[in-house]
Amino acid sequence: MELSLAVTSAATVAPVRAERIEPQIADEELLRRLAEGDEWAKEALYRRYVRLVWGTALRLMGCSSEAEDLVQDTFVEALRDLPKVRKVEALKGWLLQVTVHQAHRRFRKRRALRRLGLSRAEDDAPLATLVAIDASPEVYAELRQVDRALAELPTGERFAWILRYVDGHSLEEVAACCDCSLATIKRRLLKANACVERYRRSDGGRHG
Amino acid sequence: MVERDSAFDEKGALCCALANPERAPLGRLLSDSPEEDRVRRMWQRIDHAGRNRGRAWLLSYAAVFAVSMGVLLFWLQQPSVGLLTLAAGSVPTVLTGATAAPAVLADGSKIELQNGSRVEVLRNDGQSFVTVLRRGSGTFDIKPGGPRRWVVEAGFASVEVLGTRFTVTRTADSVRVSVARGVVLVRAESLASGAQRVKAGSSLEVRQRDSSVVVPNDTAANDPNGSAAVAPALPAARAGVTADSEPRHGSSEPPRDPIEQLLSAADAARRQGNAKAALDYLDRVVAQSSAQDPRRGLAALMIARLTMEGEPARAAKALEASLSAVPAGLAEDALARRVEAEARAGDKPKAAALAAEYLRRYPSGRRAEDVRHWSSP
Repeated sequence: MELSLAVTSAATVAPVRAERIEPQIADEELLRRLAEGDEWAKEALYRRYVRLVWGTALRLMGCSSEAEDLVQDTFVEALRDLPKVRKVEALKGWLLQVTVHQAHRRFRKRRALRRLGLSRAEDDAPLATLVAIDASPEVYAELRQVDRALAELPTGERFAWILRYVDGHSLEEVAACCDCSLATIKRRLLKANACVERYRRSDGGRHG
Repeated sequence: MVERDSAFDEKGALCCALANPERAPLGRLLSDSPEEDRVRRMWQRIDHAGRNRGRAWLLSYAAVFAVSMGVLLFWLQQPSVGLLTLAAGSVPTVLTGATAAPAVLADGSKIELQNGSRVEVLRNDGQSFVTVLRRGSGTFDIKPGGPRRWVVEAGFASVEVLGTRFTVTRTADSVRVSVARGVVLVRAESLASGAQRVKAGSSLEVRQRDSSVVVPNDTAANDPNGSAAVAPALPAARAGVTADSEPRHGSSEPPRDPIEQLLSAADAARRQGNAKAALDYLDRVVAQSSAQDPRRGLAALMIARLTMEGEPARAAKALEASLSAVPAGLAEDALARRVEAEARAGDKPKAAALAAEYLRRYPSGRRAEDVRHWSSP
């Protein structure tokens, strides 16, 4: 009830805090308001999708500081290019595409900076550190093996694996996010799976 | 909040995820929602970037024009940057420590070699000046701000210069780098991540890796109880890919860093059901890692997990000592665990104080109910 009253208020008085009203308003309405120049709608849209974009960014980059930068880059680009989104149903997928595209750019830059010893960002968020605190030690240990495998993979294979097996996207969605064909994604996943399986089956420490 | 499907087998989580990723993605096991502070901070930056974009366009046109003119004028006035010569004009190829005087280069940099030392020049052009210290010790005083990247190779370690004065000493099985001014980057396979920055006033000694175990004293061998729970031997060091090369497909070498080796050994012990050995390795991770190393925080969380029911005081102590090192995404859960540990250990006032802190930081936190339960009188 309180939320409905707040929506009515927003139409006639100063905008209220986004997190109090935005759950009630559909994406279509938010996009319409954005097109009309409603500044409040930008933050509302951001808050609606920030968890999705943040989760993807953090898993792809494995580093919280870089994930923050990635979220920023994604939303700056998204808010600028929103007029290109024709169908509101495509908004979520499009945001993920922008996120993955920006992540690719950041990964290339990160690799170059690390080669020159100029990168200060630490990989403080591999998958094993994101696991819920009450997960069993076995799950934690398995995820550490997965992290080691993912660290060996080229960017394209790493991203495809995370989008497919961590985020649970369909093959078609992964291909769309990565802006490549289904055949390419399948090839990347095949190689990535082989690497992950190798690590999972190996004993974590080679006893000398 | 991680959803829990009653039919979802946690132990088989990864197998399920790989077999049916759309039904049971690994993401269901993860807890990575951003905190409100972070959400707000990120929005402020996005909003600020959006507002500045309009003004930036006009300024950028003017800036590009000004910079272009500046670059053109600078380029026309500068001599071409080619080989780096000695001050006398000759091109250096081999430098030895036969004389007491340092070799002075045309850009003002100096190389001083101890008697019996030898430096050879491997590459010398406008972009880089790469040398190898074949033997002995050399002090490199690099004039900062030059166009070239300086590298001193020393066998199994190399030093990249970022505008400094430093000394490299090479023996049969070690390379020592001492920095007097500035910063250098030392690369060697035996270093964590393959490279380490060394600042002014610091030294780094890199030893060549051999086939023996690199982690120091095994405390389990000194167990007075002499129980059968002896920690398994740590994996032997092996040659592997350096940090700055392209990842190799299919390489599955064990971790090189001592902390990583301890964590791997703890994982292996847990998988074998040897909790005592796992705890021993995890204690060593906490003892040997730096205060802010996130791995220290993770090890503390695992110690707490393994000892919460049988030794809650130990769990509480581990978390208290390492809470600041816990990765941000696990900080909320770690604090909640501390409340539980202190309550189980019998320190109710401390549990209550920690609970109050938790509820202040995370008023709608996902562990709020647990925290209230553990801190209730």
